[in-house]
Amino acid sequence: MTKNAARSVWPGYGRLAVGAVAVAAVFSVPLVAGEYVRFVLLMALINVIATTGVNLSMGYCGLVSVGHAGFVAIGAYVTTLLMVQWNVPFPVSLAAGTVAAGIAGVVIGLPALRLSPLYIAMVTFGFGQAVNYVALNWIELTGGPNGMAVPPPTLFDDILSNGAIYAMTAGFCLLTLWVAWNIARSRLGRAFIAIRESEIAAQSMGVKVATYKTIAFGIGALFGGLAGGLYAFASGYVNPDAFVFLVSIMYVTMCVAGGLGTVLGPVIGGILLTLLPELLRPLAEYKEVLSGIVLLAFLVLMPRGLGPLIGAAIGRMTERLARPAQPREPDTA
Amino acid sequence: MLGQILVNSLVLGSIYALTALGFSVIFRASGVVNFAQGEMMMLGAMTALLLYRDLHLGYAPAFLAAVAISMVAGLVVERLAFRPLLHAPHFTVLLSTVAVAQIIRSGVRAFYGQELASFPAAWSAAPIELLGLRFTLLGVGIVVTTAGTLLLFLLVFAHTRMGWAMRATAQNMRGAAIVGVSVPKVYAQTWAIAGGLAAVGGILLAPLIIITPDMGVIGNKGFVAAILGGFNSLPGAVLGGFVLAAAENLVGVYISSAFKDVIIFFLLVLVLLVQPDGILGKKTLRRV
Repeated sequence: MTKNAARSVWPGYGRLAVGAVAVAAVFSVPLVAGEYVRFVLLMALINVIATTGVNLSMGYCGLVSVGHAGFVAIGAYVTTLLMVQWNVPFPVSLAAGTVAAGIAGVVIGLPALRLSPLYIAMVTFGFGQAVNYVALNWIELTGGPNGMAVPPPTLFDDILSNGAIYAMTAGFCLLTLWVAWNIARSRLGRAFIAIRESEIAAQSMGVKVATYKTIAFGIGALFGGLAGGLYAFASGYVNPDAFVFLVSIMYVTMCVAGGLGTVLGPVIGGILLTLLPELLRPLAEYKEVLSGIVLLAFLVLMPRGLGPLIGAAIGRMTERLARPAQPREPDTA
Repeated sequence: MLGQILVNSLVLGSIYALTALGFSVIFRASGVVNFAQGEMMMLGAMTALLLYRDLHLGYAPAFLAAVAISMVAGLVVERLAFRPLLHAPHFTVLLSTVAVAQIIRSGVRAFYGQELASFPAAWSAAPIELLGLRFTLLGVGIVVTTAGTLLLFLLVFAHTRMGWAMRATAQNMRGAAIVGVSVPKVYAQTWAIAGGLAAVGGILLAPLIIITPDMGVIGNKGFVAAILGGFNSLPGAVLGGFVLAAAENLVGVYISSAFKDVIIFFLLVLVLLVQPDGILGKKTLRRV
């Protein structure tokens, strides 16, 4: 009860303030930090976008996706190909890449609807593999294992600076989070959660399971495609190695480490797990072993992810951001 | 031509079958897909290489010792990455196996370096003509060793108390616990057996390819084979291994070898749509 009282006195200002500080930090850090730090942060933002997509289908709707790198690859390749082959302006290419990934998500979602959760995992796994094989073997189009160089994105005949690309990515990242936050609180999000908790119960309450599952897959893939297009701009180079199975698993890991089914989870998981290998870099060849051990320790010690813990630590004001989105219990009192 | 393809598929299928069986054994007992299965294969092969090449053990002792060490590794993985997570959400357990895979892969890499090693074969790879088909002693050896391993597995599974306990647990964990089966012990045994199967598969595969710390990707094939045959059926997993190998070789020869894996994926989706529980999988019913 005190919680609600606090909220009525401070109607979300505390939360807003924390959010504003975070946003300001995201935009200003690269101004003071060097090129390397900016690139690492850029990758973290892109991972946050892709992971938010995974979180929508997996964390909210319960559809395991272990092939999300496939959607990211489609976004990256379509964006790059349009720019390379037909000189399409970069905003149009990015939009096309995003939509193409979304369509792939819907198409993959359709057969998956008939299947039980384990088999959805398998279909997404196979999809991720298939996309990677196509990228590797359709050499005339994709350049095969050598990949393709991405032409620098230009706007009004000016090449975008690295800072501009960073700002654009940060903007898209915020947009993604805003969309996810609104989906989570809307009828759509509630339908997803109902399906996750019990498909049969949801169905009997009149939730169109097939439709909502397809939507969840589609939106998740859309975010993946966006992340892919932005990745192409950020790295200036796409090749199949960037979209292997382990990358799909990394997204899932970020999701789980941050807290499944929370809007803040992918942010925490995405940033933390992008930074971890960079922080361990001085350890050279032991870097990967250690990051594996850290990950295992995380999972064993905090099986529900960091999100809820950090959320609680920031305080009551931000609690709602990090709490697993569940139908709220009616207030008694 | 067709006969030759099927003969070749028998060799590749043996390795897929062993890997798929490893996936299925763990999945049936504990409901977890062990993504470290491929890495456990790699570990088995690397251990055998270390014992054989660097410690100059004979082939057979090196083989047996590597299998035993892998079984212990399976036990360690179970204790560190599975047992603490018995009551954790499903995704968490799945990811802990991914973390284990990374630890094994990068651990071996840190130890060995990204060295490309070739594994000496126990049998000759020289082709022998017989009935118009080409065999190699190596291929025959792989198939026979696999058959022996599968037979041993079957005997343990069907005729020992341990096997009964494992089957009872897979059927109904709570029921098994009530009649006195120690479920944690069954989990430990399951992971040890999966580790042993992985090692046998890895060592048999090793002479056919160049072994590197990344050879664990073969685990993906075993995963697909297990899906194809039916994840919750052990004979299904074995059958899936051979079916997958045959399908791969047939598609590779008659359609396109570059797009083999893409075509296989579409076949897989097709199989799942018609027969969602795999070729031999039992239908999973759930009570509401």
